[in-house]
Amino acid sequence: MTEASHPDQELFDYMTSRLKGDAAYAVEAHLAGCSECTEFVRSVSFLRDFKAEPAFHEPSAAQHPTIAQLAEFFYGLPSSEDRGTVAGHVAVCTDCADEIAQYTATEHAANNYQVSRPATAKVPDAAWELIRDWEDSVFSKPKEAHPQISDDLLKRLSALIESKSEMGSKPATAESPDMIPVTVVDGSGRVQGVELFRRVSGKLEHADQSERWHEKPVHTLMDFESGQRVLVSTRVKRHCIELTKDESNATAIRTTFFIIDE
Amino acid sequence: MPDGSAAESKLDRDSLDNLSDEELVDLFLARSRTDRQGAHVCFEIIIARYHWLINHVVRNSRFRFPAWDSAEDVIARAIFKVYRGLALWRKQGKLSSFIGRITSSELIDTIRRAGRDRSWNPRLGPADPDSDEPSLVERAASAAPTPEEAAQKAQQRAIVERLLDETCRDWKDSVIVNDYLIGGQNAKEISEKYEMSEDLVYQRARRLKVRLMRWLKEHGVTSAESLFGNQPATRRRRSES
Repeated sequence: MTEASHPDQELFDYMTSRLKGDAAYAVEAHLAGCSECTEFVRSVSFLRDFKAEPAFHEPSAAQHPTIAQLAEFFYGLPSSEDRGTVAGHVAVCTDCADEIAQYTATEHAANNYQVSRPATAKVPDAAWELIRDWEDSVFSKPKEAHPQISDDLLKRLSALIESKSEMGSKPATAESPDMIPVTVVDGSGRVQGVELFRRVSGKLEHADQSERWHEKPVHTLMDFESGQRVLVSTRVKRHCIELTKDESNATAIRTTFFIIDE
Repeated sequence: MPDGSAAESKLDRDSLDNLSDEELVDLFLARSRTDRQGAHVCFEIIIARYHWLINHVVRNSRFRFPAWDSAEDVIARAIFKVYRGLALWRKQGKLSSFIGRITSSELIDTIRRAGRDRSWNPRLGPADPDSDEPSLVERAASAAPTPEEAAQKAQQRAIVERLLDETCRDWKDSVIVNDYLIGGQNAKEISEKYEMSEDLVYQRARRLKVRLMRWLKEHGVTSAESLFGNQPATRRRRSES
């Protein structure tokens, strides 16, 4: 029997007991001679029994796809990597199928929605309250800008290094080999002074534990034998300058630290 | 109400009302970095345009809200999430679709959270104490499965999951398997529930049948019994009783 001759629509109706009389007999006659349709009916029957199993019927919350996964599955977003798993789950989970129905109803309404202008509806006070709470919380604040250095200031600092080679990271004194001088400059690159920091496992600590430089931008210029110059920028945290792996392990011939005090 | 004087807001609104959604969202995002009051005015106009949709999605939902949460609460949370997420609107779709998605997700989240309270069912009314229906306890299986049964069930489940994962290609396939083929609803009901034509339901079901049979063939399965092993537990229990 060819595929085209399978009475599929009638078969589906028959499987849900909606086909009566002669139409039902016709499907039964077809099933008697068609092993493919018979196996299909039996397979679906097994799937029904499995769906009725408690494990399928009431999956734990952890087994449901997340709302984001479900939305991505519905909207067919390219990032829906779990498509196969979600598809299989929705095929047997009544709750998730109902949630898909919610998305379809919404999408239908959204696609047919006509904005009337001027619109006069107000944002409810309860929503403003949530928005203001969020805006006032630290989470809503834009990420702190990375303490970037301008090209102009970088040129001035480089010139400063060349003119005052003693500013390098060589120990300040023979008695205190871990002491590192950190040059404080203003926004235009003028030297304001030198602060001493102590190198302590992956960071520099202010010699007097002073926190007056807290949150100030600090830049590290590393010069290598090859002539390459690398810049690393961060901020002073309380009395410490955290060193990156590059700064800690670098085999630079000269390392110079600048705090920018604007 | 947004911050600022009513006069300023009115003045802004008159000109902002004529902006497209894209222009308005761009302005909102730009203002939100430096001028919170301006951002609020832009947002008020965005919500004025789409408030009806948010309201419609929440109040016409198929789900019932628990007593401790209300449609107003869900609407407020959805609007807040629109505010928080507008930067993610990629302008690849309509703003209505983006706002609808956020609203639906908030609604589903509410229903899921409420559903964790097992005494509450999002689809049904309160339990009738005089009902003749067997209770959950009465319906529960009388004995735990043996380790062999549990292992067999896990194996069967893995096969079914793999079959469905590989047979269903999108949400339409999944819901047609769930509600139509397995669930026994008719094509008209599916069509109404999922906003698709009855013809599409039949067409997809036909394709699913072909794919299902092909999957069985490719896996050397010649009968349903050989795929799933012995009868599933529910059927076995019935035949034992």
